[in-house]
Amino acid sequence: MCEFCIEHGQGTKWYLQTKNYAEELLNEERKRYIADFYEKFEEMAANGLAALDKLVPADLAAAKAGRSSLAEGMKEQHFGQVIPLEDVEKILDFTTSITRVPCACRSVLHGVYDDRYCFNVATFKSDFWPKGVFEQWPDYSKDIEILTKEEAKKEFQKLDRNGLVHSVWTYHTPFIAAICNCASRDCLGFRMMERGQRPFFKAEYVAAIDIEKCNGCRDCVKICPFGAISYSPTLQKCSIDQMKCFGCGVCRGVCALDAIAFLDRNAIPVLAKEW
Amino acid sequence: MLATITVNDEKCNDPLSCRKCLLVCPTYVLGLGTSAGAHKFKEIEPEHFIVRGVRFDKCTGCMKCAEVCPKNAVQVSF
Ligand code: SF4
Ligand code: SF4
Repeated sequence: MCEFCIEHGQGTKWYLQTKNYAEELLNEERKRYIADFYEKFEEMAANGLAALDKLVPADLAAAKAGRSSLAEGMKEQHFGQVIPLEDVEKILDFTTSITRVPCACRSVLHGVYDDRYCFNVATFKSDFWPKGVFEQWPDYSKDIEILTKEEAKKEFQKLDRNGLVHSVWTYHTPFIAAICNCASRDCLGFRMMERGQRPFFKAEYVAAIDIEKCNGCRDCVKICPFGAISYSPTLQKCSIDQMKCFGCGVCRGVCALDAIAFLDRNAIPVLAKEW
Repeated sequence: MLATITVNDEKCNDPLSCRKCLLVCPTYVLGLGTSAGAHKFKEIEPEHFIVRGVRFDKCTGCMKCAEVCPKNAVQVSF
């Protein structure tokens, strides 16, 4: 179990607990945080990126080791965890509203302002995100989209097939209100990870290839967003380095032979400590 | 937490033709060696091949090697 499961999930998956989505958590302070988050995201991100890119290797090591590191600090504010498609679907099942919005990371990294990769979810007033938060920015809210559960599930399936990593995100932990779809070049979290500052946990799962079934087609190698899969020309098989696997599950979607099993990270002694 | 893998060489008496544990390990912890010293692999009797854990730092404790061994010769412990 990741530390959020212990702290906010009574030892079960914290992101499947409806209490972490509840309206009661939405106090004034948190509302202000959310408004500020969207108001200032681009500015914060641009400054943060510049600061990160200035880190020299010695600082990097110090930042990684120090409790005051950037990613560590984000645990209280805005932190994520990778989750596979089936857990996304479980969350969508208990939400009452799903608002698909443009991704702020992509606007900062690529200057693409209208690509909707983020899904804000709520389990209470269905107009909380569209009216309560986004309405104040007409330019932004013209690009948002309200989806039904069924529509959202279909979209997530497509994103999964395209190799996008799903993750839940908090707005003042433990309040969860967004599910993102990330890829290494498109995501500020991945960018931070490259600099030794990862603001999200690995999933509660890891993948493994059944070499009896694998025919070495390498479709999984191509799609793994974490570079965890390698191919042996000698054996003509692929295998997953589970220390590198984040348990996103997208490799399963492309394996035509159903050769990829998805295991509970917590059942494997060394991996159960790898977050 | 570092794993130790022990292989019972009496039970594992023909690893070269079996190789199951070598192939199943996702992080290639196991290797094939000989108990006959430096020789060409082709010149060694099958029973002189041995399987050993060689990179314990990569072992995740997934137990696949122990599970896949048809002779129950592999043991993983922490
Ligand atoms: S996609 Fe499946 S069959 Fe193809 S290499 Fe990967 S595990 Fe093997
Ligand atoms: S090997 Fe792991 S990280 Fe890579 S796609 Fe599969 S589940 Fe995701």
